[in-house]
Amino acid sequence: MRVRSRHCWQLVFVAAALGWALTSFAHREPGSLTTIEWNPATGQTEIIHRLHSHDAELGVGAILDMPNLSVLDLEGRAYIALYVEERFRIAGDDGDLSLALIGAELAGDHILVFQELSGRLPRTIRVLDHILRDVYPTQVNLVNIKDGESVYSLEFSAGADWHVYEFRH
Amino acid sequence: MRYVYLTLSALILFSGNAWGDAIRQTKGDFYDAFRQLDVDLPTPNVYRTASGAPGPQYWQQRADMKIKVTLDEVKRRITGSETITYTNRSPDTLRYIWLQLDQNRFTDESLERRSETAMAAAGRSTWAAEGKDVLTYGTIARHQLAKDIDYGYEIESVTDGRGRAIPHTIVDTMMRVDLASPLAPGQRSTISIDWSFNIVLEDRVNSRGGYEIFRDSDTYIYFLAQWFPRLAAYTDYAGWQHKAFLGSGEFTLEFGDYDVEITVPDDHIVSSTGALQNASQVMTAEQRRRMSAARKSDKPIFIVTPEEALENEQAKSSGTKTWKFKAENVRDFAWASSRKFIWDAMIHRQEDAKHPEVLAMSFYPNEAEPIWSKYSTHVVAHTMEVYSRFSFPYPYPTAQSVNTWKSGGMEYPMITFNGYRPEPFEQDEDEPIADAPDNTYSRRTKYGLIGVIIHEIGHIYFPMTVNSDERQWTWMDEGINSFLEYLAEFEWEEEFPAYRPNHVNVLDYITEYMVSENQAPIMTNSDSILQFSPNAYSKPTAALIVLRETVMGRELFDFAFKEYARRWMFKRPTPSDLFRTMEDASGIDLDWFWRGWFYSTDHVDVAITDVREYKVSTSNPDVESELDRAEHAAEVPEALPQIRNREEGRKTYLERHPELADFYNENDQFTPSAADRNDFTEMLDDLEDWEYDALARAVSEKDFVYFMDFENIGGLPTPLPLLITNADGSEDFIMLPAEIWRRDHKNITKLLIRDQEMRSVSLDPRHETADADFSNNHFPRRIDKSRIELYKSESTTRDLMADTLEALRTRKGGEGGVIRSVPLEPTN
Repeated sequence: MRVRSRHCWQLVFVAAALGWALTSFAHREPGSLTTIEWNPATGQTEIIHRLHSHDAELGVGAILDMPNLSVLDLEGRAYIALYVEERFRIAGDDGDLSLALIGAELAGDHILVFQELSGRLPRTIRVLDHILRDVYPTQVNLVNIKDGESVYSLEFSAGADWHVYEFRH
Repeated sequence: MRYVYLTLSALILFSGNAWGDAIRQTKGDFYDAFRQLDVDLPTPNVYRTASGAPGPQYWQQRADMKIKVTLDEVKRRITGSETITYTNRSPDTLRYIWLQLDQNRFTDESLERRSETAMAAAGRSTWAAEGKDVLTYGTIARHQLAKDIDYGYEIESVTDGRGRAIPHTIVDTMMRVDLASPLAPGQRSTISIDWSFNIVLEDRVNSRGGYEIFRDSDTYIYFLAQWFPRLAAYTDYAGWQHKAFLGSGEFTLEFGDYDVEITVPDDHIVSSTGALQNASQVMTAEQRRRMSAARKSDKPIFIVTPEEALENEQAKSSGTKTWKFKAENVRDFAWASSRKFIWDAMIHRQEDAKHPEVLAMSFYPNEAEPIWSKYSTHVVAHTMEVYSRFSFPYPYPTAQSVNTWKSGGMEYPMITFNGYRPEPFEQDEDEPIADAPDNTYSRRTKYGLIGVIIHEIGHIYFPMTVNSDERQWTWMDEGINSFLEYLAEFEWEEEFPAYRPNHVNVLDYITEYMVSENQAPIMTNSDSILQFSPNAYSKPTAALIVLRETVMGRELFDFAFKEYARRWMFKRPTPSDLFRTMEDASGIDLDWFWRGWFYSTDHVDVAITDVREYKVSTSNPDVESELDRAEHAAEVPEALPQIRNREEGRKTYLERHPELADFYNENDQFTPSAADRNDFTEMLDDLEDWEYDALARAVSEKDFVYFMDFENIGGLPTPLPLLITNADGSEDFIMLPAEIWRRDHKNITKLLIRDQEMRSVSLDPRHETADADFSNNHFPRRIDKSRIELYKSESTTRDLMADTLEALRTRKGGEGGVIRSVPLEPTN
């Protein structure tokens, strides 16, 4: 099987072998929610990713080839946090912003992964959210950005690559 | 009054937008959040009444089915023939009828497959992460599968009652059958169809039915859904259902009686819609004996034990058996078959003349143990108990939960396919455990399983019995069902981890979605919804919880909801039928609620912006001047230089020259003048006797008067539950109804006269309105910590995690990317 490109012939297999479309129609759609919010009390921009624990375990477990990955273990949560760190990017004019990975914790059916950025985000940012989309083809990731009193959303689904967001406030 | 607080109502600068509508006008800022909804709902007619009930001439079509089907396990193929008796109960003459061929979705020529972009095939994130031109293992395997096997219906013949071929036209997943003579109202038509198709491999194709391989043991589970040509719906509100099946929007179907014969390998166990008709031919004497015991048992009893199933799956038989099932008044039919099945059953008793006893059953492979035998059938029974209390007795003789996949769920009449399995137990090499279990399961697997079984069994009520149209309105069954699932979870055990275990509150969960800009109203067609899950599942759940617990109260809600369920069981309701019934049966105007929650993207966020406290003034200058002086002293403390001068013993010039003091040194600005006293006397003279008495009594009773300002930031009208903490520490709970917003939907002021001083007030302290921001719900204002701040304040957790993250980063050798990818290979 060959895929033609202008410059060369390439054979690209991306490891989604374990990720064939995990079924979940009638019950729950795979998806993650990320909130980005400036906290004036601490001077930090806070980024919280919320993933369904079950999806995160199966998905990240498949990618890392660790079928027993569990969010109940500290290490399991750390693997998921590191995975999320690599799949989520915010860039300004000068390239990727350096987000500090704070940690992860369970909140019911979900695992929360925390990141922070010292200070405020630049006025114009680019966001890329690939969390679990290498495993679940129907994964829809929502990024909610608090801007003044409003919340604006970026959705990463069909055709979505980098999204640009310009702060209004 | 001790002081006057003057509020100028804000001047609204109109933006010049000339687009007014019935709710938002072009002049002024009146916003009619309480406008009558009737003008927007479909006009009532003889089919659907203004009270939300089926009308005097309500009709729906009927399709009775006789089907014979054979599973060819070697070829993984289905061959069937069906005879449909279609009864035209509509007032229209039909020249053609439409059937749904949902298996056609899997052909390479299907609308779904042809419209799939390269990016969609790769998975959009993979595509974006890897740059252009990506081929995934999944796509390749899917392609190879399609190259080896032709999917989709092979329609061998379509004939009428006399065996004559009738013309038919296939349009993607739909088939039009042209009747030899027009079908007049009240007439019946018979159509026979022979078909076959190759069964899809479920985990490769992402389907609702198919077969699952257990690759370690080379064993299989077959679960057949959308497996026969099904009658499309013909309705009074939309005519023929004509949307192709693209994989997401589910189904609306016609009711009918089914008589189905399923031929499978003779060592298979079959679970199916309907009641088994020939137990003596397909079950062993021992199995039938156990079934008799299960019919008297309120705990599950094995019909096929785990050991027997394990033994069974290792042998393969070449013979066949035919299982015969009958189902009355169902809108669909599904079944599952495998030699792997463990089978357990128990009886569920209910107050119902037709089905006083329902057989609750589960079918699952050994891989699903030990969690399935422990919970599945109990959950089936529990679901019926709770749902029946809110709607109607379970309307069928059996209710089944079948484990057919790792996660997810899908519903059919009397049978559901459910996910969640335990994980194989991994021995620790350093500390092996002698009597280790084969499988272990996590907390999430357990509650995930219980949740999904409640949900899917719940679907047998909505939409399998209350037959709402999921192609049009997903929320009507998913939303109502998720709401009832949530109630059933509360009744399974306290602190059930639905949504979040720390809160167990969908109203806190839903706010992140409801504040988002990227959403559509609940009342949006299934195929146009932006975010499927919160729109169709959790937001309607939240809305109905608010309605039941806070707006209507349980008694009125439960009565009205039950009325909706009873009116529309075995019939096809539309959203307006639900809205109208809930109002009609409860006597509560809910137009504002439906409009806000179902027709808009407003959210709930109300702020207490100010609370002003007053005491009733005596107006007597001699009394009030003392109070004014004390208040001034409290508000304006003595200047620091003045205090320190005194402390240093410094004498002022006046102190050293007291002869300079005059009238103004002896009286401050608060000292009443003669004019003040005259004014007071005049005021008293002007009062009517009853006014004088009211003033005197209020002064003597020392009433406190409060003006509370509320701002509706989210826009959705909401009741205002208030917890008032009094000065003595006692608490009072007050509920201000949503109608308080009817003249001004943004800003209102509430006057409260209380006999005690108020220390603080909290809005929505029980989290019952879905308020999105609690930081503005307190007066005096409270400072809330963010989730990250709280996490960081737990130093042990934080440090342990930081160490682990560091260790894992080091282990990876600092390489970026945890994605496993195959290296590229230039070929020219």
